[in-house]
Amino acid sequence: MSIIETIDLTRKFGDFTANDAVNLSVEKQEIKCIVGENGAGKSTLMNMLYGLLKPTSGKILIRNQETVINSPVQAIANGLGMVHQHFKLVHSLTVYENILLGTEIKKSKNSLFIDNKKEIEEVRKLIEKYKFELNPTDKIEDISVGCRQRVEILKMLYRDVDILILDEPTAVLTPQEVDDLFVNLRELRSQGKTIIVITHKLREVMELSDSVTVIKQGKVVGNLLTRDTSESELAQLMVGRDVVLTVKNTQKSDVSDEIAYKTENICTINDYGKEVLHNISFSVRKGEILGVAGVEGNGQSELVKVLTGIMKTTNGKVYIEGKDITDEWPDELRKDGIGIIPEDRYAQGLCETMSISDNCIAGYHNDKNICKGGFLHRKNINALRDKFIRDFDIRVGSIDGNVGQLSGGNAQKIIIAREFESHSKLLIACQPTRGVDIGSIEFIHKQILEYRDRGNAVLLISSELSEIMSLSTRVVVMYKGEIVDEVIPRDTNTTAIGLLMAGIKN
Amino acid sequence: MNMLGSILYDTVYHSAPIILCVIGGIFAYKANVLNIALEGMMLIGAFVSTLTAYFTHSILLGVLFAVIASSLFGLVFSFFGVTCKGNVIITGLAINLLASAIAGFILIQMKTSNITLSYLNVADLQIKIPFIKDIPLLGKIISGHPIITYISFLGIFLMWLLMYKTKFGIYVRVVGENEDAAKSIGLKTDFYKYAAVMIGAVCCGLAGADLSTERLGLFTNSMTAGRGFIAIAAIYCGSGSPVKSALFAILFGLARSLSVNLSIYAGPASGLFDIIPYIMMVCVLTFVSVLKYKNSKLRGFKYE
Amino acid sequence: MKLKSKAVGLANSVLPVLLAFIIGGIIMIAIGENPFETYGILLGKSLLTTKGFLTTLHYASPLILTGLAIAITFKANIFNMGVEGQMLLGAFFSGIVGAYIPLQMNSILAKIICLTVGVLCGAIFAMVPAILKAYFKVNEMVVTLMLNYAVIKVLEFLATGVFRDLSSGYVSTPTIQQNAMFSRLGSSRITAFFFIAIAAYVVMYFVMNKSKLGYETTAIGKNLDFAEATGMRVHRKILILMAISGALSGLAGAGYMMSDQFKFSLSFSGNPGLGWDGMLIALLGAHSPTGVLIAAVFYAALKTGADNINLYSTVPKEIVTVIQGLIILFLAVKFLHEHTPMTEKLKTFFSKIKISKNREAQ
Repeated sequence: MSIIETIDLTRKFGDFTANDAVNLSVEKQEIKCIVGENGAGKSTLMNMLYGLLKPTSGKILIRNQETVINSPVQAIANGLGMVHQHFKLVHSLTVYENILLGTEIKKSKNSLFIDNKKEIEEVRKLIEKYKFELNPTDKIEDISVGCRQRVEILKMLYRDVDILILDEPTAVLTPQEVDDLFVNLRELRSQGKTIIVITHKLREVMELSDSVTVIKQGKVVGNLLTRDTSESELAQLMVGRDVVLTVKNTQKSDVSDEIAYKTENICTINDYGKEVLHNISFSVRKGEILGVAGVEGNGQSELVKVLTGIMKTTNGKVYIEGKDITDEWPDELRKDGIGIIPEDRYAQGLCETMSISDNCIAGYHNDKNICKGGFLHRKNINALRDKFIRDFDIRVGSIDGNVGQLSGGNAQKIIIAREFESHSKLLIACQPTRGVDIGSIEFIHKQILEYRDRGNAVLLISSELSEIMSLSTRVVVMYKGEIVDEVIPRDTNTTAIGLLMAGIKN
Repeated sequence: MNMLGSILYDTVYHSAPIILCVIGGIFAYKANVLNIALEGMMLIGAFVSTLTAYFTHSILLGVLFAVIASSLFGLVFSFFGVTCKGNVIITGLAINLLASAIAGFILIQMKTSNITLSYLNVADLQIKIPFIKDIPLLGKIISGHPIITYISFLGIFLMWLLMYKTKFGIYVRVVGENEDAAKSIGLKTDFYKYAAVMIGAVCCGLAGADLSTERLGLFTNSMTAGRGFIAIAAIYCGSGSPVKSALFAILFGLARSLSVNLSIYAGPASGLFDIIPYIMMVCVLTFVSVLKYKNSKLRGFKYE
Repeated sequence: MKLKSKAVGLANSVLPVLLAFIIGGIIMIAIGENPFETYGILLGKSLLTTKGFLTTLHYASPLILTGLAIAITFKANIFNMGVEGQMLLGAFFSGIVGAYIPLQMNSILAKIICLTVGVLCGAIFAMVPAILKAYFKVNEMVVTLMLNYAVIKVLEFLATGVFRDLSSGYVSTPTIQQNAMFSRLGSSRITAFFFIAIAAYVVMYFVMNKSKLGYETTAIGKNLDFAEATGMRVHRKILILMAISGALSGLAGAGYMMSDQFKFSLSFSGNPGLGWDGMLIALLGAHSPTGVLIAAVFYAALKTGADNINLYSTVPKEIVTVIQGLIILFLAVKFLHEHTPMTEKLKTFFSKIKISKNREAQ
């Protein structure tokens, strides 16, 4: 019996059709995965089911009854719960306060005050029922990301939902935590729940799900049983052509012995005085890509901030080709030959409300041919922009428009074009293909490899393990602000690295 | 000894209006609505309370209308800032200017430059608590204030209860900290923002009434002299916590009390003592900021 | 596309003014006056007669400068509320210097010295909140407001004490010497100071629109993380922008002193004050130099007109302050976005006209 069904469900935003006559059917007590590229319309579809968006046309049937869902509260009333990719938790409140948010237990019917003791007790019972491991009185700001996700799931379970939607749940988990999550999900399925997972990680789809629906450009292009399909078939459906899932990486020239970039014992602290980086030391040779693996939140962000000049160290040194560049400001770093692809392109790499040309010179606006005597040379800037658009195949709507109009992949290409143009010697590439469509991922990976083949060095930081494994010459793994170990991709496997990412060293 | 008692009494006297603005303003702060219109709301409260008392000879009506007037301003601020999604800093600035402009306009229509309640002896408004007033030193500090002053200190505890022990308080904080989370559990975020601003407006109205009618029995157009902004500084320094922010408000009251009491000894330079409270707030703000960021290794700034 | 966004921007500045005028008119009717007559006097005398227009330009001079002072910092999301205080400080000390300058000194040199004193005072005073923000991350909005109150009290103290002009009937500093005064050009009140203000406008135009500093200012205002990560060293820019802002404010004060007031009194800056007028002007002008120029002239027309209202009608000139507050209130909201239904309707209306015109042509 299908517990949820959509019939010709459509959602338009002005002229743009995000979901086009989607027909989806989910069986009771199954785990279904919904896959598709960034921007394919997966989130829009789920937001309509959860009452965050109203359909333009079409029907939703829950347990064979046509239902109109106007808000998350109504969705939950219909037994439908959602765990978002970006958690909706209040950090200064505790686990139990977040779970009971909106359904607080008062001291008595007319009392103004909340019965905290009773609330803690209720939540403890819930935690034990589903065998999650949490402490009700911990504050959200103090617990791990994996734990936070479990709080979000419990929030829904407390409200007695039968259908649980999870949006990109494994993005922030170690391989082990992913395994734990899958165990929890299978347990929930055996207790009668139906699970829908939105993801773009095909390997996990094959491992976890019973059935898969593929969405491409707003339309359903495939409804398959997992056991009848494969990763490559799913990828082909997602993109519409054969996709190279891992780019060919043959080391064209030998890695030289010259060290391009070196760090020694870098340490730094966070705002609370707690050490977030401890004795980070590594070196990158010319013609090599050093990958930094690890689950997000283990110090990679801070490391990138330090190496790109927006955070200071408390100890340690950084050298490029022997020159001491410790604690230099971003403009000095760029002058010394460091290229930067930042972690969050819209926060640190681009300004969405500025024009494409203005973004093309950002970071290099002190250069001689861009800025003469304090004034900007518009002609040269526009010529540079045109060159980038040509050489990197950047699709733009209007050449004078803002960067905000571009898709994630094209925006990222501007950053790459800009940093490559400066003829840097070391490229710091942080999450270079996050939120980028598959076609652009191929392109960006090729560009990074070509950069390396020109004799330059690359520091690659990514939480996408497959990316690290396929591109890096060597890999260091970070855990809780320290480097746990160094491995060579050829000589290891996901399980081994997964253990390192969880801090377990042989 | 007398001087000490006088200084402490004046500290209570001068902190009260700031405390009121602070305990009202923390709700908007926690709801992430930057309300810089506290100054204007206080001014219009002061003006309307004195004006009403002038015509009706009733302090009670004065206070009532003051609260109504400042609430109206609160509604206007909320409308333009929350519903219309306008820039809250500009909206706040406009409210402050309008309060002063409207008061000035009406004063000119009345052909006067200030309102004096000549029928009133403000000493009559001071409550002298039977046993306490006879305790040496402490009695002089605690007894002998008009009612709104007592309300302001009680209010610190009341607002603390409201913010941390009730559903309403939790919801206001949720709306401010993570609006998405609030929406996802079905909270009407606009309602909580309005409510937060209105609590601030009511408190500022009371503060204005205390400042003008209760304490001085008169109104002049610039009498708030930046107290609303000092309240904002106190809220920042206390990170929106009722008790901590109120402490900073009392610090200001102390500075003002010192400046008033010590200026007698300064002779011609006495006018300069008036700047002590303002300079002190700048120093406090700097000190708090240094403490807040002392561990921060991050370069760069954040939008407030 | 660009034309449309410019039209939207213009409408967003004009609509609030119209709304405020309407409400002001309602208030006038409530007190028994004729709004059309009043507005006629308000704008007619100040824009439509040569003498009136030149007087308007005269009053616009300090406003252009305070408007630019606000615009350059607000564009970077730095809220320098201290323009009023910086301006008064510049005015005061340029007035003192001007009063004691030797009479024999070359007139141009005397003026340059006084103006420089004003500029320096404003700039140095602005560095206090600037340094606190740049190095200690202290919120500049509250600090500048506190310093405003403090500086007004200090100047009050100085003007009633050490620097008081005892021969004057009210509290003021001595009148500045002849060679420090800007003399009137022709029979109207306009002086050479107006051209100094225009020169400042031209400089700021190039700085904000064509220079690297202008590019960085825009970036800082739009995305702080981006600005820092691309090496703009935001803390340095804060210092530079506040210094420029303070300098412009000081120049405004000094020039106003030397071309209009000639001495510092407690009502030097008028009501609500040249600095706050500058805030309104910068907002009206959407923080662009040309916008500020136009808004300053418009606002000066209001002010000139307000004086005339006192002479020619019984509406109190305080109504102008009320209207000013209303304009700022309405400016807070962007009435028209690129995508409001109204603009959509206008778009379809015009495209229909185009289609029918094309059909006619065929």
